[in-house]
Amino acid sequence: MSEPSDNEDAFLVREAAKRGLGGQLAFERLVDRHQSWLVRLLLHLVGDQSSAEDVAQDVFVRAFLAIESCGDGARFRGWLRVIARRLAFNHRRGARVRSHYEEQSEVGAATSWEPMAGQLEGRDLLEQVLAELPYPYREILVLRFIEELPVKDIAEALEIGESAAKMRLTRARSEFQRAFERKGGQSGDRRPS
Amino acid sequence: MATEDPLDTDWIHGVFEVLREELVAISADFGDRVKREVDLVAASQTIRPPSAIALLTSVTVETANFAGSLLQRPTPRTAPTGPDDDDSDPNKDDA
Repeated sequence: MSEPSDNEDAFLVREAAKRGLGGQLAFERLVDRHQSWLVRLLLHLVGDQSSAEDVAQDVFVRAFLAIESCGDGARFRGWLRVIARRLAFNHRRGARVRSHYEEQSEVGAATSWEPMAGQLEGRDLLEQVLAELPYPYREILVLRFIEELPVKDIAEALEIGESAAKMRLTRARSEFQRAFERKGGQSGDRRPS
Repeated sequence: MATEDPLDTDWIHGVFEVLREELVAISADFGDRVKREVDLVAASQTIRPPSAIALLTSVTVETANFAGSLLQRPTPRTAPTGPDDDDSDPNKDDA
């Protein structure tokens, strides 16, 4: 996945931290450079476009307010990722509370929907499996397999140690495989060579 | 991007390809919305002197007002005391 030049990010972060009109314009340039990537990441974390854009806007505003604490501007994207992850988590938690109350009114009427094996394909299958996983597992799978981050960067984004990140990734993989196979997906262990 | 463990040989990495390759279109006005929000926050937090947009707007408004005042005809008096006082009629002397 190609990323904007770290050097230019570093320069823009330094300029933005000076504040004033010039600082604001430098930050706007950072918005231009990272907005597509950020919305895409958030789309995979929160699950819908509209929410992803709302959270992304909030991420940029918070980043602007705290730009002095970015430190190494060359790592701006990593820093932005940490803010995005926190806000996505908060957003999911709020959405979960709302859906809990909605589900309460439907208890008994609805049964969990289990598709027949082979019924789901490709993207739909993947979306269903991700939606079914506990959020921390979804999160780490997105960072690993969509963002293609090494464990070190995942640990940084999740604000945990590398060994904890490895352990969570291992568990997330197992959970993913179980759910994937249950829905008719063919995992690596069962694929013909 | 270099990774510590091989991603390419991981079957889950292959499964995620469909999402990885998917194009995500963002709203056309997303960037403008963010910049407007940042501008408002900057102004309200007094992070910088008057907003770039506000500054530009005020200059535009002031310029328009000034130009308008130059072009504006003198306001006629509301209660002229007599025909001789009404000098706003440009045709008066022609009559």
